[in-house]
Amino acid sequence: MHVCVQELAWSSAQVRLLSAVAAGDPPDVAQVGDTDLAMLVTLHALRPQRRIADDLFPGALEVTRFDGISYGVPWYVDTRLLFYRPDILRRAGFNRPARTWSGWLRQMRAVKRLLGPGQYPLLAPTNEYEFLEVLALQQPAPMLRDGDRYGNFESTSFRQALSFYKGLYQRHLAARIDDRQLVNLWWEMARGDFVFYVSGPWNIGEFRRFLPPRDEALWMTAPMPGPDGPGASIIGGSDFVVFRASHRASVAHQFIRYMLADPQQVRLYEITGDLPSRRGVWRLPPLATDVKLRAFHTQLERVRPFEAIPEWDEIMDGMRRMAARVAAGDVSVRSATRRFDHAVDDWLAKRRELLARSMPATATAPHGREPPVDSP
Amino acid sequence: MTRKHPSGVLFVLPALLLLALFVFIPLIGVFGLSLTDFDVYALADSANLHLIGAANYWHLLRDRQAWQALEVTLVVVLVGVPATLLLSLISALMIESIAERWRGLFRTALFVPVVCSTVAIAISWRYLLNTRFGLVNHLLALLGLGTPDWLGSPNLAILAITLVVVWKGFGYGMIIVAAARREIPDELYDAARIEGAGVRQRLLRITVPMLAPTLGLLALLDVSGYWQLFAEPYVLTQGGPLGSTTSLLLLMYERGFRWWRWGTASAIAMALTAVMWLFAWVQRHTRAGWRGE
Repeated sequence: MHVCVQELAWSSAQVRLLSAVAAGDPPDVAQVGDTDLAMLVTLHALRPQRRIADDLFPGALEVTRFDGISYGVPWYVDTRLLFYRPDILRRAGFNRPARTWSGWLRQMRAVKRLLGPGQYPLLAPTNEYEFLEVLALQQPAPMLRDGDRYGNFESTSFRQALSFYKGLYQRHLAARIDDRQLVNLWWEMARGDFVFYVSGPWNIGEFRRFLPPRDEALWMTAPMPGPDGPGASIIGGSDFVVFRASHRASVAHQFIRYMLADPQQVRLYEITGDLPSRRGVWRLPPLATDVKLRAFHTQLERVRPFEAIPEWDEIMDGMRRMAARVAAGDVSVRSATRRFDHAVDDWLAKRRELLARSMPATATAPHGREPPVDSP
Repeated sequence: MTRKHPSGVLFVLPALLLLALFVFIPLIGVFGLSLTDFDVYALADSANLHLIGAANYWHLLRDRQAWQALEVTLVVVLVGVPATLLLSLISALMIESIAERWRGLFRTALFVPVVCSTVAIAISWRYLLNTRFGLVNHLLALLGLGTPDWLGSPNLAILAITLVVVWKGFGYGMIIVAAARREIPDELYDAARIEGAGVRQRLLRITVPMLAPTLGLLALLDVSGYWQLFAEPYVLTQGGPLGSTTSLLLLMYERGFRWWRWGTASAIAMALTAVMWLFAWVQRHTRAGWRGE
């Protein structure tokens, strides 16, 4: 089989794929970030996928399903958790990262006393929304309500997550840095500029690439702490999709099957550090023997799906901007979330309209805002 | 021979056709789009496309982000254009006054940023302005002036963007002004000197008025260029922190290409066009007055 591969920059891949769909000339197969899937599904651009493997992480599979039909095959999976400096944590008197928010706060305060000026217990880059998304997903109430028709950010749940987030920045426990201001965060981490870092699996490979082998003991991974016990995290990653416009669907299917076989999944991990989407592969070396992967395995079994709607990325980006204002002290949690709910309702107006038209029976959602929902 | 000879029209026609194809027709298209709610749902099924009149524009008027973007862009225009012109003028006069054999060197050095790719420049400045490891802060620290968070604090970030834009842009104006300066006849200066005019008087009474049309033209070019600020904030700050560097064009890009709200994005484009026209109109009238003196 002859495969032509075109590389796209990750930051512009979605824009280019959508443009290709709009122009009627998409590729046969593409790698699509799983939050980007919803838009392509809305455009009817993708073919439904058959079940290719039985041991895919259920969380990853769930976010490829729309109305019960799966449109993507999880290729690699991604979640967010803690990278940390075990030696500094030990010096502060702790053997391992806390499992609860309050314990984690205690650890960060203790660590802060050991650090010099310009050093911070936590790095969670301010231009990424994932950290706050994780905190919010750990709460009982979802971020959208009534079948994703309205924002639910004014709920107690979200406000608790946002207050915790705000506290980290206002008490100078977290560095107010976006990742473009980082020159080489792996060196900075090795130097002790940050003790905890909320990030994803690709950083396992990056740490090993930038730090010499003798520094391997300087960093470790741990699952996210939660409000009151081990916390959930987000599920992310990339899926293979086959475009409806493709004339080579069966070959495309064969290709995907090949890419998901054991050797290719292991190879992908070796080259990029991206985590295999099939649990079976995790029992093979080198994944099975890598202690730094254990936390990822634990975390991947404890994830909560995001709301798979085309507006989700826009909502998350808006949430990040809103949270930055709150963290800067420009606006209170209460009024920021109220205002943000109105913005989200605006963005979802067309979605509500379409849902009302396609499902008149269930379209009983009243006009205007209701009080926020707090039951799960 | 006669005024009615069609050759004039024929000469202009190719340019007009190109303008129509790449400017006027798209402009009409964008205006049409701005009256609809074209988005990802409409792309999926044209039944989801509605004509909504001026709703996008009304929304824009109540959109804090849009107002902030207007303010950001306006600051860059109002601070950046005079700064660029002033720097162009000063550097041109200085270069014309130094010894001939050094002139080429300085002219090239100051012109280099103009021909460099904007993205490459922005990435270089991102490193130079880095709060903790940047050369700028390293020098400031040596002088005991502290280490400001250039790209991380809202007020400084817009200043940093303006600085980069001006630094990249003034070399072009410098070349033009230097050429115009050479066109001013020496007799004027000689006569002034005989009449007893000092350096300052010669500068303000001869050089600046004689350069006025050139400066006016540059101002027009700079204004239209700076209104379209995009690459510098896109690369340096992605519009942050707190939206303090989100220009109108960047906002339009986000609404259109990132969130696929083409109706809103088109309305922003039309608003930007209107504002630029307004600016050009005001400028033309004030420039006419200036020249008439």
